[in-house]
Amino acid sequence: MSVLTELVRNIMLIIILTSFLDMIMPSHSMQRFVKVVMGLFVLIAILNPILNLINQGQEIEAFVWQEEEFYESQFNSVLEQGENLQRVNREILWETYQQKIEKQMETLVLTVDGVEKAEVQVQLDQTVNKECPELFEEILVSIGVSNKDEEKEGGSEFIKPVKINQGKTIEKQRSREEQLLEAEIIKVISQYLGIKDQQIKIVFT
Amino acid sequence: MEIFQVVGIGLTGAVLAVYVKESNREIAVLISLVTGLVLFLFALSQVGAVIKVLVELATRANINLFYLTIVLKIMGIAYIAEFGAQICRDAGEGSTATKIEFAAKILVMVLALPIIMALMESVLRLLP
Repeated sequence: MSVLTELVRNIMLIIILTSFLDMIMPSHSMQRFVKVVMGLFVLIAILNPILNLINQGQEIEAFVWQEEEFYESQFNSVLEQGENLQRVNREILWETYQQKIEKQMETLVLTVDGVEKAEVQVQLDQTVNKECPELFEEILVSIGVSNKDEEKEGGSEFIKPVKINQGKTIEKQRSREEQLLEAEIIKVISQYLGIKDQQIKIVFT
Repeated sequence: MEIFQVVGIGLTGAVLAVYVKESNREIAVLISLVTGLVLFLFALSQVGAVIKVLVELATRANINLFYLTIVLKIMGIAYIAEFGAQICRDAGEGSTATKIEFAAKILVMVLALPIIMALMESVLRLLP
């Protein structure tokens, strides 16, 4: 009954609409053409609800499908937003962790005797998982070494230490010292943080 | 009252055109053209309210607005074509007026095609 009431109401509205359109129709030669199209329009406006009534099941099926698609697209967009948020959070987490571990390593390296300045750059492997538990890809430690000889020799402010250029001997001695220091730093880092020696690179600045 | 303005513009244009027609026919045509354009634009500014009501009625009657848009476009084409054709007739160019009308009819038919197709489909769906 409600369907019939709606149908009659719609037809009434269509009649009002067409009479309204009829009023604003041009008056001369074009009138016939416009009238034909208007007639078709009225026919389609009346036929469509009747057809919907006849093929009701089909219409409902189409409607449900559209709704499903709508909800699916909404759900997908929510999922996508969630994934984006997760990705951003993960990036922030990795960045914070990297900064903290760098600071920690710097402090650790500075405890080694002879190291004056230390700068650590850590490269993390963000694809870390249970199968591949290696967290650090590479650790680059830049070190500024304090010159003990100069400190020892420079006892007075006024008298500068006299250096006799011993050439290669000094270089060899220095490289020997550097090697020892390098080994010491690598040992400290690997022991405290459980990192493989090969992953650590030391640069003297 | 806008109608006084409309009638005033129309009458002034008509009197001027008649007065000038004796001495210079071309200027008279131009005057009638300008008068017609002014009146047309004036009417056009009021059409918005009518279209709003039509759209509301169509929405209430659950009519697809696509069809209503087509009908309104067709009406617009008819009005503009008639306006142009009448100006051409006033200028004594009956053949051009006929061609304008012909082009407008073709355009109306092209625009009516979706409605015709939809109707055909509806009728075919009605048949078992």
